[in-house]
Amino acid sequence: MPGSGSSPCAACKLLRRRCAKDCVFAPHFPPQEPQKFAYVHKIFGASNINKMLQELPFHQRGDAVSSIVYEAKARLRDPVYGCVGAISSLQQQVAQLQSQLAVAQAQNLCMRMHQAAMASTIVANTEVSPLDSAESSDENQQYKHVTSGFEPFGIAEALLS
Amino acid sequence: MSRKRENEETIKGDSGRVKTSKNYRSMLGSHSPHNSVMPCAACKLLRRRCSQECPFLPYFPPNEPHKFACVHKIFGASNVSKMLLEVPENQRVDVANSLVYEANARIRDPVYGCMGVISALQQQAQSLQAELNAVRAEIIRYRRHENVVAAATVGATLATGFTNGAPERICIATQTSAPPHYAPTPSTSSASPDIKERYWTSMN
Repeated sequence: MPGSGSSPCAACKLLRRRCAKDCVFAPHFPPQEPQKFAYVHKIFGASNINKMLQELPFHQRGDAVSSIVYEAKARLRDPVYGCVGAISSLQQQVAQLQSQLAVAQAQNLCMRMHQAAMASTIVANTEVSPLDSAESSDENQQYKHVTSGFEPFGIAEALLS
Repeated sequence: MSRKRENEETIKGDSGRVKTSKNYRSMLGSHSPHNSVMPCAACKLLRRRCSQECPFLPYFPPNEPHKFACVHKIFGASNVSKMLLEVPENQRVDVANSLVYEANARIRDPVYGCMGVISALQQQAQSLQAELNAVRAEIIRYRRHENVVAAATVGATLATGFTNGAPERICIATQTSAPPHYAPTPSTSSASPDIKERYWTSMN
């Protein structure tokens, strides 16, 4: 609500000035929330806030004030990094997730190739003739070699290591 | 005019007082490699005398005028000075750099500033987490399917082997390693359809 003679906005109260009807701060810094303006004034200064708000269309000022208040609080909580600390940790998190995703995708590829090898093994085993023990022994050895070689996994597993 | 003569010259100021060349050099700057005799970017912008004790001098060198220009536009020189002096000296570089980052973000995005960057990173993290969960779920599905197939293979070859009477020569292709324990990584940012609401509610 625009400032009136009886109820100056939090900004004008802090700055000890008359709150005009067209006060830029009045819609966004109500008198019931004096801390809100105190935070932004401490970090940015009233005149800088005034300039920033006046450069924006009215419908965007609410969001701008909210983000400015957030940044001011973050800076008061962490005088060294402010909200840049949160950005830094998010960037680390994104990097970590990207590497985990790469590993998982490599594992997935490995599994797919394994499944393909398994499928071909089953087909080969069901075609083996059980009649001659010697022959089947040789063939079993051959298939054992095939199933234990896992040559296709070399590339996928190299990605995991 | 040689540099030596220039340095030794005394210059008369407007008031008629004689200024030593040393003071004059400190005002105008010189080609000396020492920053202490050149005004920092802040004092250059503010058009004031830069001294050895200038709080901006170590962090806003004269060759990077844009750095101070953006923090001055958003925070103001006196606020920047206060914020620098509030922290121990060994942390002031980080303060200056983070203020520059915040100021640049605000100039780039006058409505959301750093909040926009945080919001974008959160969305990216959420998207990556969802993709990771999907890939891991697929891995589990494949492993379960593999176990089923392996069991079927064992059954088939056992039947073949017993018919043959030589079970010890059975070729078994089984999964020797146990399926990994998949504990989905809890998302550090739970689904929050309205990022703004979450931050501003928690902050206010």
